[in-house]
Amino acid sequence: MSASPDDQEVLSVLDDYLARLQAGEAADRGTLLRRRPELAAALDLLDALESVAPPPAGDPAVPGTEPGDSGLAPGEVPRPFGQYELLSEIGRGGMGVVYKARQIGLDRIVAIKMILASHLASSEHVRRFQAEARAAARVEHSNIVHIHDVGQIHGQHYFAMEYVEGESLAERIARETVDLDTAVRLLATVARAVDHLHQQGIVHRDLKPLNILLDSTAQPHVTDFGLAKVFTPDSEITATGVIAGSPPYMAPEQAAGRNADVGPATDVYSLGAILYELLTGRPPFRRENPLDTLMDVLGREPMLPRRLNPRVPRGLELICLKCLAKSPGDRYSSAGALADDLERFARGEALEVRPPHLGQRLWSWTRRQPALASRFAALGLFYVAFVAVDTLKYLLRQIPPDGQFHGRIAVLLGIWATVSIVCQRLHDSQRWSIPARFVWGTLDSLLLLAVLRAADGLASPLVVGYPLLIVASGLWFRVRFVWFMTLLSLISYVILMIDFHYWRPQLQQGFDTDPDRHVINLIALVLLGLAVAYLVHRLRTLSSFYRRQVP
Amino acid sequence: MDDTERPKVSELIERARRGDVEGRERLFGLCRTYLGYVARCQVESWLRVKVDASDLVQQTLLEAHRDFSGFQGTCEKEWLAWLRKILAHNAADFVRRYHGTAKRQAGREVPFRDSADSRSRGVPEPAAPVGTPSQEFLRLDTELRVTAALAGLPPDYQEVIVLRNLQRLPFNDVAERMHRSRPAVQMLWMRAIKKLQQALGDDQ
Repeated sequence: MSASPDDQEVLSVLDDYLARLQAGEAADRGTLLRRRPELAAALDLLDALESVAPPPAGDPAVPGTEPGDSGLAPGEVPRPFGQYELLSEIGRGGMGVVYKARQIGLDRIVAIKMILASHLASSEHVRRFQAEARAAARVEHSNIVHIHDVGQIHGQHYFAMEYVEGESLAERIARETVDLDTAVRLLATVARAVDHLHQQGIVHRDLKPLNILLDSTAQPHVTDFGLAKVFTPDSEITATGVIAGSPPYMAPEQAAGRNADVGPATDVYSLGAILYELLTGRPPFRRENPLDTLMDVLGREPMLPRRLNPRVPRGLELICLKCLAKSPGDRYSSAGALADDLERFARGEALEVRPPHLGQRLWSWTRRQPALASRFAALGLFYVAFVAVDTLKYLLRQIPPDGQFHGRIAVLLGIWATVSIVCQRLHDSQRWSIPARFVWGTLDSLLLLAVLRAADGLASPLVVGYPLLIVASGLWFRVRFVWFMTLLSLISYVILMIDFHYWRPQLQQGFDTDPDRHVINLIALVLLGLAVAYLVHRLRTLSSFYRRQVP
Repeated sequence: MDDTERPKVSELIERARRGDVEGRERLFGLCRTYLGYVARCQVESWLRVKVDASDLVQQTLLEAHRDFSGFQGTCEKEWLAWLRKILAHNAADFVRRYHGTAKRQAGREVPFRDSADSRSRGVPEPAAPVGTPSQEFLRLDTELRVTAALAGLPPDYQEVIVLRNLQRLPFNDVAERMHRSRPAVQMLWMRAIKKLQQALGDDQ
């Protein structure tokens, strides 16, 4: 049976129309008919057939994929599903829908997870899913949700697992603050269970509060393990299979898509992220945009837990930060080692984790507050170079340094550094974060103007500070902020032009006073702003694409 | 042929109300095919196994006969909606009963009858053997005409339309149910739609 291109076109029009019709969307008849006007009668026929079809409500054909399928309404007839009887829908995730069900032969209550067909697109996927689920089914541990059965009924892949009556840790955290002792005990238990998984050769890959279920006695049960791997492509991020896992709890090696580096230490990181949330009420990195979150996961240090919650003991903070180390080798060697340290902490014994030495602390400080650190570095570097050049001039050419000028510059740099510390503090507070950025940018450009006024104005090579400010503004990843800084730079440059030509004409000595130079410089600033803004815009587009992929 | 031989549903309802036995028989006969499709699709999309819906249709028609005096409407739309209501009720019973059977058999999937021929699975013959379907259904509204024309198609064509359109299964599932490749099923579907269109066009 071969299909001609014409047939393919007709099929695509009819199929498009029907898919929309069945999804309950308004089909764009006009557009479709412009493609193939002769198909009007066929579309009418599809309409007529749709009116004969039984109402889709309660249609369990493919749970979670059928439009209008809201699962089982209360009082609805329980739906048979192979040897199970689906009782109610208890959850919905990226992978599929979870039902509470009764296993008919054994008369026990189980949870059934239906895998969305779109996640098992190829037979290779199906094979991996089956293999992974079978491996998971072999795990027996009192704190791990047991998988009873893996299979397929009418093309619907599912697995049946132990039903845990209770709530997830995520719900618990949302409901109330978990006290420190409970948090330590809970996490030690979870870490032991995860260690057991690791000993069976299974890496969870998607540990997060939602995947830790608490039973009626508040005992944790780890669920949904190992399967994340099936749905992660082998090498890079693709449009269909973006990184599995939840960015706020994801280890850097996982976020970067370095699947070869994913191992037990990846789960140790996630355990650390969960501990962080238990201690502070929020995961280490959570920004409104998943790409920003990923960037933070990859390159930034989390804020110290004790700054968010002063009641957190130093030892617990150290344990938590060790789990969150960027490099897998710097974390606990196993989930068991983490559990050991948590238990030692609970007993008040000496911990395995050691406080970081000065170098490590300095390094992690720069990654925690990169904006401040980079300004300090720039100001310091500038001052050192400034002093060095002056000294060199004196040694080689016997030119004595201008003490007054020197002093003025040093004071300005000092003010700049202080202003930066204040702005960073402001930026750290959730509420002032965005205004602080603009205040900081304004002060940066004002201080640069002040330094230039103190120096030779436009005659000074320090005017390269403006392009630098524009480029650096791109690091906030906000198009509007780039424009803001470009505008400030242009205004500053115009002020310096007035200075150069009217206020201090003596600067013009030995300098080209042709206005061409200014025009070219101004245009260059605008173009630079444009290029950086466009770059940021492209990144944001990617980011919103990514957000659509990660629900 | 005059209008008494090619009646409108509203006229038949009128005649049946007046106690015209022949009119009543024809009214019910016209809807049998339609009900067959609706019943089968309703139950199959719940159970996801092939079922024989003819008992369900029979039961529904019996109840409709019995309760005919309770029917208030006058037009075809109201008539079909009323039948569908009775059918939905019976279908729920049917599913419960099926479920009971499945329970006794400890969860084995039990298709009532599994045959490739859709006609043996509760999709009845076109209602009226007298005259050709196209003549019989000429003055009917869309839904009855479509189902009547559908019943006149070859079994494969019927099956693909039932699965894709009436049960709203995606092509992948249709392919699996019909034991064919996805492209083959898509081609079959397209031909079936064309054929059905022709069948309907012929009566105009």
